[in-house]
Amino acid sequence: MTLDEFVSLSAALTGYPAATLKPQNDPQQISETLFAELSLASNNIPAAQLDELTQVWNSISATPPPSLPAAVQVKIIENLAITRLAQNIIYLWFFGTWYDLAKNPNSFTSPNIDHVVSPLAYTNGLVWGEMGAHPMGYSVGEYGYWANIPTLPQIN
Amino acid sequence: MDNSTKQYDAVIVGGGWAGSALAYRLASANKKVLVLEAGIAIDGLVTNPDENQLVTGNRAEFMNDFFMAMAKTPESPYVQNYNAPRPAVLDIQPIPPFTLNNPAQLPAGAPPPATIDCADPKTSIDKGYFIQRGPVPFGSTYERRGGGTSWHWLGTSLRMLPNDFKLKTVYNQAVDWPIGYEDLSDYYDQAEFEIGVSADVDEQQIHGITFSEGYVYPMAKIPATILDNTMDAGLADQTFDGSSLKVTGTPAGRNGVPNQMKNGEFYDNGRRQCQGNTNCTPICPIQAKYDATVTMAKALMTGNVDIIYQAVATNITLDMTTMEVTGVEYKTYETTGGPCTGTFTATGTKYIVAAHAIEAAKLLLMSNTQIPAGVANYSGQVGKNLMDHPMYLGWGLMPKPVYPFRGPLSTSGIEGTRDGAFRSERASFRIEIGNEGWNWPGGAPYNQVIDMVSPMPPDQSGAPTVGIFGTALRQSIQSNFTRQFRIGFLIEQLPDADNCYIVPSKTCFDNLGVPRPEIYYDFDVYTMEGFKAAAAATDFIFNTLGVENNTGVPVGNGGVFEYEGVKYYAQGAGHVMGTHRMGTTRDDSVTDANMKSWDHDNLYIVGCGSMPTTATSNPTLTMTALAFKAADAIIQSFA
Repeated sequence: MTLDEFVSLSAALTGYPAATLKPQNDPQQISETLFAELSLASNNIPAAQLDELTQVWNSISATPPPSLPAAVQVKIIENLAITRLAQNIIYLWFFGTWYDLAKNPNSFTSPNIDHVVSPLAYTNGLVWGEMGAHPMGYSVGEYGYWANIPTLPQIN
Repeated sequence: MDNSTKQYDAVIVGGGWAGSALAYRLASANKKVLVLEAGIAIDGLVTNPDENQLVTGNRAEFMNDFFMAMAKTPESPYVQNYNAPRPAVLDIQPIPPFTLNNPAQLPAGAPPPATIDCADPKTSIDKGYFIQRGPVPFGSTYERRGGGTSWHWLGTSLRMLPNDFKLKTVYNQAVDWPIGYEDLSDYYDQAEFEIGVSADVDEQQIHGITFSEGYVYPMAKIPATILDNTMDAGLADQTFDGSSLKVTGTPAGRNGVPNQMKNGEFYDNGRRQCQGNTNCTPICPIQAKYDATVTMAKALMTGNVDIIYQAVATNITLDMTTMEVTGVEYKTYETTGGPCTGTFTATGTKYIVAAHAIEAAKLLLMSNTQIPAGVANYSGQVGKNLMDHPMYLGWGLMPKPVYPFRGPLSTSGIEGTRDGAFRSERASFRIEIGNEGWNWPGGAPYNQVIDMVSPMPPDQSGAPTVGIFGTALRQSIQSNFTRQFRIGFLIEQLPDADNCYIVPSKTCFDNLGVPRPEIYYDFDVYTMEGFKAAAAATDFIFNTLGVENNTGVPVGNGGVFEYEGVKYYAQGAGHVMGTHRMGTTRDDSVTDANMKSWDHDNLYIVGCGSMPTTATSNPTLTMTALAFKAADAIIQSFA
């Protein structure tokens, strides 16, 4: 999988435009940092699973936007051979975390290889902004901002 | 630094909350003070800035560790120190019934009592520091390093109620304090100034609390969140069990807008305003929230204070003729996992143990070479009466968005339930309103997003499942998380010398060979009735507000107990109290009202352990007031 393929697939999986995930100027290099997780040996990603996800994505990525979610649903999400890897890409973006592919992320078996990718990956997690908030421990708000109703990001 | 030969006016064991307050007060009165801190130094918080500290920590490092932690627990920013270990969430697991401390209670055919394998201190401490004997695990944790547990306190700075000081007289429960509200009122003023509390005087005059003429808090009340206002709109006119459910702002040790003080000056402590990081616990990223390093820094600036880090007090020695304390022995180490590097003795005129309720009691009981029962323990009450505010959590979804995960962790609460005739029968409580969604009870946002994206298969296996993604996921996140909220009940606990106590373990030691705390803990009917009332209050509040009630099994479910056929899940509040209580006689208390040991004229024992009963207010403000009261008594004792 290439970085471009990763970003376009990530856009389909997260519901965020590719230009939001990988802005033209990104001094924090978030997409590059998250993409690097796919080639991290300690993440134990079966090569066949990554190859299949890449191939499937390339086979549907040109689908016209209105039909794309349905194609992703059938070809990726409902494909049990690759859906966990796709889910992990969602977690990378929303949390900045990597979960052991061999288990359900909600189960806390030990030892495991779950980890936060980096402090920047955490503070750039999409879940916080999605709910009109900020990462816990990383606010750029001013005193008293919490008394005002936030604007939630628009979902297209 | 070897200060073992220097003579001090006062030796303080503990560089945390109470120790910093005492050091500052005594140093300001020109007393020479030595502080022994078991844990590592905080950058800059040292006697001599040129001196090379062996190990240090600082806020930026703690933040980095917090960001990188998968489980963002209260202790996640702070690495374990095997030479001055502290408990963590792993300590709070259900205790199998066969570890009941009385073997006679073993059910027929039950396996023999479990023994904890602590042959190797490090691997054993990695599984938990406490030796929990139960039947209920003690649910609260603390920190051992410069600044102590103030690194992860919430900031709540409520005063105790007048009736909290006289539980025996008014409700025929437990014991009265040896002092009343009026004795602490001035010290509360001073504590609020030192901490820098933001609150509104008019709003805090409840249940008989009074303020001195013209008093204003240092800073104005912190603005309420949308959740606070939503709850107040629905509950202001409601009552539960005769108590008002009105929502009021919670006094907080977080910087807000300065007030003009009684003396005409505007309050200014030089630190930043709260930025609403929603992270008071585990760590405020910008120190808008007070912590004890603020006061220790001022103490050090007087030039009258020496502080030795990585100095673990292990024994208090006595002159057996005068019964006065003659020294504090302490062990040193170079790295947090390395061996003991020496044993020294600190000497002074006065001695103050301010080492946290559990560690202080442990030290007094460990000091048993001259008196088998331990130092300051004529009453037999040292280590006894261990208490917390066991917490009941209720959580749900509001009918409309309330936008949690914004602002300080908690800005308001319900205080009407803290006092009433019901206290003759059951524990009272205050209700804290949480601004962090289901983060505490439900592991939010992680667990709910995972439930959306990778639902757990029915067989609980690791098999892949089909979840939602893209636009549907984003819509679910917006709809769910903007409506999440939780309330937490801080439930009163009575002193129970027979069932709730801590002793130094005879079999399990830390890496320095110092005994680990062995803890016996349980809830009595009074407290369990408080839980029952808390659950009923949750139902009433949620029904009144039209809330979808999601209260169930919380992620931290180690404190489970059953009462009248119902399971409850107690959480620790971090409010560890009672283990060296003050009182009116030598027979049933460890210190007098000035926190001076009844047994040793030059020994003071100060902290939340001094509190005879828990009340329902988060105890830190009261501990600060008590530390200032003790400091006055110590200064006067030199005259």
